[in-house]
Amino acid sequence: MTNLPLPDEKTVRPFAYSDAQVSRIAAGLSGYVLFILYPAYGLLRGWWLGDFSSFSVEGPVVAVAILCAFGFFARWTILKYLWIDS
Amino acid sequence: MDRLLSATNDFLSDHYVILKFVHMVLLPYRPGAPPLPMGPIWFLCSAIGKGCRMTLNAFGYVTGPWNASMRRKARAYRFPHIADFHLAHFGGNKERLHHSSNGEAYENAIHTHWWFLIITTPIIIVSITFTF
Repeated sequence: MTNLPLPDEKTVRPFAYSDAQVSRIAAGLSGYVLFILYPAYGLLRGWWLGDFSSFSVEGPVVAVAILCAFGFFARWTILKYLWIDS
Repeated sequence: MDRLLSATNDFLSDHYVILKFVHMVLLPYRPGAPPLPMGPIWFLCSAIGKGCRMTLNAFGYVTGPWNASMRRKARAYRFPHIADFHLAHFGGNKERLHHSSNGEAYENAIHTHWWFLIITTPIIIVSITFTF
């Protein structure tokens, strides 16, 4: 396997990111699950099985707690690999 | 055909863990393999994610009723798989862009692929943990 020649120096640019941008991405990942996937899951479950317990107090509270933890984990993981670059 | 599928099913079921270990851990470190770009942890996350998608797809098709849930998971994993193929082999193929001397497009493709890997890593880590 031979390596390709180096790319043109004129077009090379550093991989730019900011902590705030990564925070928004992590919040977006959590928010997508919390506001799209979880309600969709709850509605389908209610539609097919007649069980709307996903929307009782306990379900959303657990979902929020888990997705907050996931958001922090995602932010930490993403930054960990970006710090390698910088 | 049924016998072939049945034999394949038996073989995969019996040797699943060994095949997975060889495919994901030993093969990339074989002599002469290209260097891993970001170290073993990133590689394991990436390779396990890819391997999981491939394995779920294969098992979803090869095996029988045992795998109804696996088939559903395989369908869910199609979306990152499609993105993977696009970034690696179709519009985002870096080698082709590099040879086309379009430096700007090449640089954009590198950045897009990098963002894809960075953003999907936490998703893959968590989903793999809960899948198996």
